[in-house]
Amino acid sequence: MKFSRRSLLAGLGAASAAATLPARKAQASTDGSKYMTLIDLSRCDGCPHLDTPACTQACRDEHSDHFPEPDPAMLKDYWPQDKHEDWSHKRHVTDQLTPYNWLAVQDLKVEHEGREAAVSVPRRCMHCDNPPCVKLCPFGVAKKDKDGAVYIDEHGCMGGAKCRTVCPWNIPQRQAGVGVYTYLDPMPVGGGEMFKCDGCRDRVARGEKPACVRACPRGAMTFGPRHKIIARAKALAERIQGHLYGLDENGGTATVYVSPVPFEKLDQAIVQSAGGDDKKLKRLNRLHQPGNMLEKHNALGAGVLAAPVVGAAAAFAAAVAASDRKEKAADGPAEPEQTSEEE
Amino acid sequence: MTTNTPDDSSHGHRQQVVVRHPLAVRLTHWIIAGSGIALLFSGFGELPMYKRYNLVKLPGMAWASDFELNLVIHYVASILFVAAAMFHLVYHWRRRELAALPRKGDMRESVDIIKAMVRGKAEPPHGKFLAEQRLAYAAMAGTAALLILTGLVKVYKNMGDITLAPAVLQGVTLAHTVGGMLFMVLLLAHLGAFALRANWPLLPSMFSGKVSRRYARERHPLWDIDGAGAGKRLPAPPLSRTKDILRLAPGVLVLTGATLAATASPWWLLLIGFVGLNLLQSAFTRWCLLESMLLRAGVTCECFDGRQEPGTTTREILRLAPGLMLLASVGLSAAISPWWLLLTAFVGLNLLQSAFTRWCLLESLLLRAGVPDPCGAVPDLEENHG
Repeated sequence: MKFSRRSLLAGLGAASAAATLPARKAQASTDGSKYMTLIDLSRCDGCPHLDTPACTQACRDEHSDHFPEPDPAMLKDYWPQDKHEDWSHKRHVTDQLTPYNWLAVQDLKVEHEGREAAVSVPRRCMHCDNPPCVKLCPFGVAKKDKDGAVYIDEHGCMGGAKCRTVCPWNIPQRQAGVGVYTYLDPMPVGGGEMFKCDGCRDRVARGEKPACVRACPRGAMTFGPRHKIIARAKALAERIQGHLYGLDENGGTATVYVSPVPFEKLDQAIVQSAGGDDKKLKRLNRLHQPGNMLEKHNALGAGVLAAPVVGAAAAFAAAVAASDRKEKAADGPAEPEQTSEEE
Repeated sequence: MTTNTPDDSSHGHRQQVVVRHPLAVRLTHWIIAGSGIALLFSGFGELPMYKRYNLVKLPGMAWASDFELNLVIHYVASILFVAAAMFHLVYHWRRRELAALPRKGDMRESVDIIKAMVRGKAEPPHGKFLAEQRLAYAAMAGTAALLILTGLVKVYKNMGDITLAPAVLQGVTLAHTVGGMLFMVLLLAHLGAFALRANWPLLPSMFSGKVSRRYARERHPLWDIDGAGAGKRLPAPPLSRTKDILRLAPGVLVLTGATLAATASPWWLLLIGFVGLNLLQSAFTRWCLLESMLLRAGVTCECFDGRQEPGTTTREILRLAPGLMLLASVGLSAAISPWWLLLTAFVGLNLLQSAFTRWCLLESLLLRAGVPDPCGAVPDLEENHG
């Protein structure tokens, strides 16, 4: 019997499924139809010979058609706040994620095994298995394909930036002056559009590899079917006595980093770079160990799915009890206060 | 306020109050109201607006922009809301209390009522519910149904590595978001009704359940207060406790079997096959082990006095039909595609719902076509409140 029990369960109806729903914590699943990327930090050197790392440049070239061209009249503060997010005059920025830069390389210096090690970390969307940005977007414009790519639909995004707030890695970036909210002006709603790595889903659909993977001069990135990439990452980690990141974080993602240096140390370096400024730290792309904020509340979710059954059973019991009382009243002596009694 | 309090009955004026909202109705109403308001607040909190519009700067409201906290509130309130809504649906459908459903001509009549209220003139005579109340009920119940159905999908997909087709997820999400806004408007309109003096006596009655008989007579002359020829819209099927259980048991078994067959092992199809075969055999032999045990245990079945209707009754057909469908679904699931388990699930769900609501489409059709009920003619049960 070969079929997706997941889709079947969805079809069976939430209520009936609720009772027996097997607990399926998202963990980088080994589903063969999904893609994954391995990023080998022992190979990545951040392209010191180039102004812009090759992957970053390839990403910019690949997606330049999709970059926002804001309406200057709309580049105004989000009332009643006195700020707006405009990167259109800072398109050249390549060392952090912006609406015009969907992949940035972090250059981190850490102390490891008694000497200073330089580690370069290409950062972009991890393409989570259970992405909070997709699941919590109020307009359903943050989307996820069955093959794993998480992307933001250009049409319909209001730019509320909720996806960035719920993203453990602060990936989506906002550009003011574009998107549906410009049509709603002067209503004080929306703030632009959100932009981030789309996993090169157009290229992948054509059977090609993502632009960054193809561009890396050191072959630090490998793109392929999930089970193969996971096996490869684990073998590599074993060989170099390295560390894995992305298989369990946020409940599992479609990106796995292998690093010779523990990720705790890399994350410490990121935290230190904020210099104790909490606001600045919030804008950085961490390498911490986030849990999945949706799956944390699965017990309550199961309660919601079971609620229809509970309600129906209670109604059944109450209706039966009411008719029993009625029968008893009919058999027994006449009830003098019947008109003001409840059933 | 001139409404009589329940105290009046103890002073011998018991005829002066009548039950307008039975306890079950009041409980459901207040659970839906409370959880509904929590759902609206936390739902709007899932739109990124409390921070932008500075609600978080009000004292004690700093938490309001926390999406995770709002999600938890939304989940907890949903449990109450969904359970209460389902209670409402099953309870009143089972008791055939359908007076709040819209009728033909309600639209025109509600315009007349509002005109009369605004001008302070006499309203047209009402039944238990006003035409506009029936329309408002339909709008609110419909919106709630949309919110619940889309909400269940949204909860389910949150629970793990569950990827719905992007267009489906977007449709469900937008329907839920727009539905929430609509529900907000309807709630405000519902509260707005209390701006009209004529509706004031209903405010205390939503707590006490009672209104004065005089108010009921004057405003609801068409309401058959004491239920002596309560207008019914569907004949209630005969009371039979065994019938409920004999639908509940196969329904639960079949749904369990279908779920396990889909998730654990196809061998669970055997459970579904067993239920199907047993339904079939009892259709032909008129003997069912569970039924015998229930009757022996004293569970009531009005018609059971040892006598059997000689001809074919609805009972036989209502066992034959699901039995055949279940066996067909087992065969098709095993031979062709496990998606046929959806047929199993449909039969199971329908068995379950008919156990709860005592309504079954096939049964209604058979009765209408003149097939006799095993318990004799459909008795006219006085079960509803007009």
